Amino acid sequence: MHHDSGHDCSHLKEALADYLDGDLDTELCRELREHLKDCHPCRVVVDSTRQTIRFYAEERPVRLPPEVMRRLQETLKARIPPARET
Amino acid sequence: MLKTDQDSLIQATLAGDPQAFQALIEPHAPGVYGLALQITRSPVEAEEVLQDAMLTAYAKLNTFRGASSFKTWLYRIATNAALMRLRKAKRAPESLPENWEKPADPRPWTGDPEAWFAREEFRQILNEALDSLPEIYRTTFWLRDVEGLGNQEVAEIMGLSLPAVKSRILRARLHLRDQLAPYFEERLRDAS
Ligand SMILES: [Zn+2]
Repeated sequence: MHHDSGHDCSHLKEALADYLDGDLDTELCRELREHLKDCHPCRVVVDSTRQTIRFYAEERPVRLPPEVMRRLQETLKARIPPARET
Repeated sequence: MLKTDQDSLIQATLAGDPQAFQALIEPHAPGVYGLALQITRSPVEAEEVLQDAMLTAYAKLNTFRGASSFKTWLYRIATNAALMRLRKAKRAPESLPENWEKPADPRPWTGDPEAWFAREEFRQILNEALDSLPEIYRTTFWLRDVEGLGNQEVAEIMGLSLPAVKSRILRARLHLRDQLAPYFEERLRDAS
């Protein structure tokens, strides 16, 4: 990460994965947290990435169509016969 | 599903009760279908993968040892079934540039996201952004952030190392962020 003042924060990108996962204990993550306090562009990226994750987690943009479920049940019924009574 | 319920359904299936197998896999069907759709990007193929995976799981159930969770085991079967189809379809190798460039002037996302949820348009935007990801990034992201699995479980399912999983997920998250940004960034008077 880079910002306009020329201050280089690219090494903090390594901490971003852990930071987004909530592992805040590493030295690099503490540094990142400090950095976010006064680097607006980085803060915007982190916030909007969090929102991105939340959008997908909550919306879960795929639905299992009921007819697909029904055909699966039919296939299993046809391919897995009940155990023969003795 | 409680683990004990799951265990008894597995035992009942192995003892020859096909209804127990239906009950065992039904809660996982939406997840397996969603995963298959991420890998294949085709509803027709995803349905075939769903059926293949469940039949394979049935055939191999006696090899399930409980070292990983049943879900992880099943997702691994589904991933293999889906990748096999992709190979048949001769998929092109895809990748993202290793280095992500931070946008020059990122703007905060504004507006009320609650208003977006459960709207067809919103779902479409999310899916189009996913389409723009190479398969391996899309699948890793999906397992981690939509299915909510841990990094270690994703590594097991994908057959990847933990560091590879972490770097792919970060890369995917940032890429998706960039794709969604135009829709959610605060609007400026950009006519100037
Ligand atoms: Zn910064």
